[in-house]
Amino acid sequence: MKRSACCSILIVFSALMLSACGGGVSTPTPTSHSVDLSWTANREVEVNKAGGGYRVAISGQPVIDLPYVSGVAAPTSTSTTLMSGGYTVTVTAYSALNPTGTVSAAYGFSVPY
Amino acid sequence: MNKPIFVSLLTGIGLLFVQAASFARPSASAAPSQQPQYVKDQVLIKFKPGVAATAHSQTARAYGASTMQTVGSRKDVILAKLIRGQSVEQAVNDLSRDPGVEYAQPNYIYHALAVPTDPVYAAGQLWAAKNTGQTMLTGGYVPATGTAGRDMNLEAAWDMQTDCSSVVVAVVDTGINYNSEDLSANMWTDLSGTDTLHGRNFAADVATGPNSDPMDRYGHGTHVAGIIGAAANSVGGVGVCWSAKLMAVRVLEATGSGTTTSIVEGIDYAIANGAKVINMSLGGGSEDPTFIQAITDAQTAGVLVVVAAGNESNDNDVTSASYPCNYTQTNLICVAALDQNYALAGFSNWGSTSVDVGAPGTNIYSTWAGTSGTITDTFTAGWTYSSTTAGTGGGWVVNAYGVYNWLEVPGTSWGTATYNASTDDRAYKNFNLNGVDVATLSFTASVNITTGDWFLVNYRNAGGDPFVSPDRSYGLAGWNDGVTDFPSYSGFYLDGCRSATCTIGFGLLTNATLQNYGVTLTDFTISTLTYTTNGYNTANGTSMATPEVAGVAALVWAHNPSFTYADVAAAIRNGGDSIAALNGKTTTGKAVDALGSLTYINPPTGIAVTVH
Repeated sequence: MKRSACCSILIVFSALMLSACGGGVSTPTPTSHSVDLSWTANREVEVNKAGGGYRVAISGQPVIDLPYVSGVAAPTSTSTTLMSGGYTVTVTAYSALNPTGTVSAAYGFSVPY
Repeated sequence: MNKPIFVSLLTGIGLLFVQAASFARPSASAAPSQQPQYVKDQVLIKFKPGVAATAHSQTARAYGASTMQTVGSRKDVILAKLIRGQSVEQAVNDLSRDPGVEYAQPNYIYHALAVPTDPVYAAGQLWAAKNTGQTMLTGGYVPATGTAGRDMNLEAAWDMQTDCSSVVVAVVDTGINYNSEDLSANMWTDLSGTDTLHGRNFAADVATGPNSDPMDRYGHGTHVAGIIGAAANSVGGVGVCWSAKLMAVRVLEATGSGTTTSIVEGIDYAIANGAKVINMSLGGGSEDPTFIQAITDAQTAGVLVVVAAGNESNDNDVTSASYPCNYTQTNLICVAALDQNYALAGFSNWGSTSVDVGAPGTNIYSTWAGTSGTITDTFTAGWTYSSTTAGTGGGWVVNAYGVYNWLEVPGTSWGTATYNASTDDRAYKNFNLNGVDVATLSFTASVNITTGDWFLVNYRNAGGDPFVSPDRSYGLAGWNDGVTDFPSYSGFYLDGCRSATCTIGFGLLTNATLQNYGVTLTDFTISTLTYTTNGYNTANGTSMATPEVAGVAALVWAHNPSFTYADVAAAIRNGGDSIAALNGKTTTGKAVDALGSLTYINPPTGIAVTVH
């Protein structure tokens, strides 16, 4: 473990030196990644019946609507494709009688290059 | 429906009699709904014959909608969700012009027309459920006329949920008259068979232990129970829950008082027997570690505890704390009382860190344990006096001071003479308590007697001198401290004297040494309760506001069976209506709203992201 940590330090140091010299590091090319999102199911009956569901809002992306379709609960996961970068996601639970719903706390994540 | 209604003010203002015959008969018309008339972002699309099922989703998408499901057995009718934020009206118009669509329509919302037929509700005398600005005919709290819409939004809530019978609510109080016509169908049953009377008694004024009787000997608990769950059965009023399971946990005596022991035992019983909600419309001024632990135990068991803020017009955070309101467990919801205009009731306590929400608590009509009454006496007629000594200091005398008559020994102004040595002074009178189920004697007294002397309060069921073979004798022993005692004589239970010949007497029995100023007493009152199955009452207090919230908690929990106590508490705290009167006076600034709580949605949690 000590050796590995030492190597990491050296690599970072090397990168800093290159940067200080004003050249040699190219901006990485964004790449596309599949991203899976999930959350804990809300316990409100109204969310988990017709007219209820979730809206997933990822910064800079179209809102993903996940209405209840069938079964015991509205879907609590979705997948999407995102380019490299930093994002925040919120999940809003809603129902027919509360279409505005309640939004979760924002969750931040990064998609690597 | 000529039910006698006793109107008792729990704030001690007074008593009124009102006849329920003044109430109108139930109206056949249903109240208008306050809910949306159709689902805001959904449409139904009926396709023309011959349009392939595979084209249904394509058509919906073309108009900014996504298919949710087909409707029943109708494969050519789909429910679609609008995903572009367009209005239902626009989507219906657009879709109706599509050549493949026979018609499009909103997804209308229908209501069960859930309006109770109970006559007091129909007469508009349950303003907490529906405030039309009506004038309350009973209760005595002013203002008695309110503001329309200042209510718990129960009519709309009842379109979603009326049945709370999956949620046991423990009424930890003075007991419940489980024979009430408005409660009997909604009483909890102990399926183990141990307690056959819908709960258990823990208060010391009657027998305790398994299968002890939690019958209400005061009325308060029955009133609370009716607010939570009076049945929708076309008699009397109706509770927040139309169907319920009300557990009678009697911890307060016939005087309305209890102890740490009785209350904690009651909480433990409620927890052990499956209560999900505990209503405690009670309070005191002392922090109580054992009580705190009991509420924590309820929290551990997942039980929500709803308590009253208190009726002293105090800031619980500053002036003086009120417990259990001021305890801090997350399963505790403390409730202030609002009037018919959603102003804080004049008697209600508040607290920006201790009180959570407000709820209707003035002029609240509900069930009562029976017919309450009082027998007062001014010592002017019918009393028999005797003394074994003579002179100034011997024997009971009635003296008038202002508007009050005082029964005194010695018979001079208090503090001007002493009673006799070695005297046996008696005063007694016959009272007809025949047919009464509960009778309690109270009076105000000053007592200054010395060691070896006794002040006695006796009764004898068979009549005659109650100091001869008394059925019960209460004695206060003297002490050579020279101090005048002002004992709280509010709890002389006359259970063994409920006959037409009950004699009640006061005695002073002294020895030969050292005398002092003796005894003076006034405010002689016998409070009576005669059980009926159709007793009702209109009352004021945070005691009344608390069960409004407990009932909403039961509604929310019944509607969402997988909720935790925290979910229910969040729905109550966050689903209410912000009102000016509670701003800065409660933790939420909100009045409880049943529909708001039922439709409240907790924020999703547990978001996880996996990047591949």
